[in-house]
Amino acid sequence: MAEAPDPDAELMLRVQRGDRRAFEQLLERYQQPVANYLHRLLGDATEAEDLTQGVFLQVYKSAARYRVSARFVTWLFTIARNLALNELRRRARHPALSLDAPLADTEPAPARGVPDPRPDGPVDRLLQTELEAKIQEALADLPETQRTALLLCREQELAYEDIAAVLGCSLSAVKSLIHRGRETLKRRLKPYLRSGAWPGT
Amino acid sequence: MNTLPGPEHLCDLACRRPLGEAERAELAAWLAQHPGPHAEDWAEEQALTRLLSALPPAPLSPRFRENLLAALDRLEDGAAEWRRARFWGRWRLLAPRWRRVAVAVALALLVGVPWWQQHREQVRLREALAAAAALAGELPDPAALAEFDLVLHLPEGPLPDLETLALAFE
Repeated sequence: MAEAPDPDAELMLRVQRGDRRAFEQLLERYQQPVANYLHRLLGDATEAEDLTQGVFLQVYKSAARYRVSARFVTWLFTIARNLALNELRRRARHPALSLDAPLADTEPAPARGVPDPRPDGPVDRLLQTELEAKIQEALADLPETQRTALLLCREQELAYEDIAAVLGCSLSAVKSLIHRGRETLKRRLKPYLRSGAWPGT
Repeated sequence: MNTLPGPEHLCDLACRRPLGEAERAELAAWLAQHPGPHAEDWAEEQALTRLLSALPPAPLSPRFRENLLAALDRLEDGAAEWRRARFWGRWRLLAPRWRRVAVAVALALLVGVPWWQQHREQVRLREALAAAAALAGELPDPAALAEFDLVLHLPEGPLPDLETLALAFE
């Protein structure tokens, strides 16, 4: 059975011919998923935004090297992951305290400057922020490959084959990474899993 | 991958997104048929997915798109500027003698290419005229075509006998 053509690949071929409008369509479609992935991977909203910009600039610059044999989304997240790995290596060489990071285990993360559209009260918001910080912390403690496998599987709903292509490993390795990652998260977040709900929901 | 007992497709879905109503019903039916400690495992699995799914999207500044497109413009301008700078940088590295050669070649191309194109056009035109003249040689004499209309309008059928016709005119 013939595989359905990838509409993103068609847009990317137009980008190769210098079509700026096609690039803007890809940007519109993927800016938020890429930002989400990088935010969860790095745990820093500002860096995630900067890196998201870097990812799309890289996509534009490397358009000539794109081959339709690869799914666009796989290619895109491979670029995103490579840039994120560079950033993590840079951090390891030059450790610095992020302004977005929680100050200590006992202190809640400060609220971000972005307005929160939810009409909850301040207590709910505080609990929500704390829970987000705990989840982010638990995610950050996972090995990078488990984190990436989990995020691409859950947030981007990528097929296991695509995740394997991004990570450069086998299908069974991907499944194992996801399973181990989830087991670790369940252990770390056990107190929050009892209710199974976010505060205020 | 998943050590959770139960329908495989539900195991796969449960780690991607919260289960829908029909899927939850299917799971409940399976759990009812298989009593044991599985219910708690499934509850944890679904709770983790719900927690992760409810994480808010990463904040992006409202001008993210504009900033990115502006960066792209700068990138393209920078690339063009870099190409210009590289050209003039290489030009300055050339010895004066080679610069004169390069200018001479450029001038020769500037004058030579249009001249060559014009020359090719003239050759093509001459060849076309010669071909037309050769074709004209194979055509009948124009005088033979003077009575063309008359011949064309001759009635169909056998032609009258010329001698009888001459007698009739007399």
